[in-house]
Amino acid sequence: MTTVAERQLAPESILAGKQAGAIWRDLLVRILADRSSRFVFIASAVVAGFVYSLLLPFAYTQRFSIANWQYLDARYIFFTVAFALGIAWLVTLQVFAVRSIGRGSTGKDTARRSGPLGGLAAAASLLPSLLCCSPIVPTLVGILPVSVATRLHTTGRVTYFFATKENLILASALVVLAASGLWSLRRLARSACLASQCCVPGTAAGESGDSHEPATLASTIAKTGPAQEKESIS
Amino acid sequence: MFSGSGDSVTLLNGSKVTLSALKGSGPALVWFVADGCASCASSVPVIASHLSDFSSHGVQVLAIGMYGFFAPGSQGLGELANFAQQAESGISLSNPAWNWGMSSESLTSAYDPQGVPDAYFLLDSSGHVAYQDSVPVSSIDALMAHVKELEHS
Repeated sequence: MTTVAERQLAPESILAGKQAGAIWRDLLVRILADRSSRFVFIASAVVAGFVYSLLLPFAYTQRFSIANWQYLDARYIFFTVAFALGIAWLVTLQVFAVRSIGRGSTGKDTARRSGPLGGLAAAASLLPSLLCCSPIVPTLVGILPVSVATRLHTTGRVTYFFATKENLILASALVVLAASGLWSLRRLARSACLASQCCVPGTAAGESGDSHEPATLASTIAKTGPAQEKESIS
Repeated sequence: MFSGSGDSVTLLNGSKVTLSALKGSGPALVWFVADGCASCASSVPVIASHLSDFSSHGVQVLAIGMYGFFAPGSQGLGELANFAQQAESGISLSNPAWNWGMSSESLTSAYDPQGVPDAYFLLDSSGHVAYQDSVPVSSIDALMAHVKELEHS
């Protein structure tokens, strides 16, 4: 809600920012209100949490076993919960996008582009556990045409790096995962033609009529109102 | 399995022993540990808690710092001692049932040429490998079963 004075004084960008914030909030509310999305989020969080609770302490036993839980300290519990929630959020967003958006729309692009970044973060988060003490690093280093002494020193240095930088790597992966979640939400909020009903028939560009300017969820909400837009999505 | 002057281990007190010298003195567990190796650290208390079992079966435990994973010389010996102490606070490295030392390059490359930390080798009295695996914390039951078999063979 903007006042007359604000409209007169505030730059366009501020008004656009407020509108974008409203769109994000609306999208967030719609996702949280959707029963299927809630189920997807909870199920993904449980599965991801279980997997992470076994994989983060993997380095201590080198086994994918329930016994790994005895090495879950406060740090690992924090990262397990954080990664589980982050991954669950990404999965929920993508499932929501796929369900909401018709085939061939830019929503598919949203899901596709957010996947690699989230996957990269998830993979990076497991590097310290999987690379420390396992045969992976020695095998990779063994490919290098170097002497035995150099090979052992290199393996030692790489292993030591992942062991001592574990917190930094996990925190960095968490930041990337969070950024990926926000980026996905942003793209989803800004995607054009979130449902086939949003688009003007006969044009994929959207109801603006400008073939170079696809209709965003923002313009859809602005022109149809949130209630009507909500119906068109669901 | 290995013989020659290259199979030396520098013990924490600075003295050197060779695996060849162990031949005839009974079976031995040769276990390679590495700095920064989480499973090695979690295996230390497990091995420590089984020292009396090893001892009762005549098995001498040699916990060896892998070449390349610790600094060379006396600094490496200090790192190895710190590693053991951090793995299990209050642990006694002077227990006669086990010895801690740093491996020579040739010993590490002979037993563990790939350089995978936490590998161990159970040698019989003649110095042959009777059983080998890795990560004692996850394989201690199998290891102890082979230790018992060793006594009967």
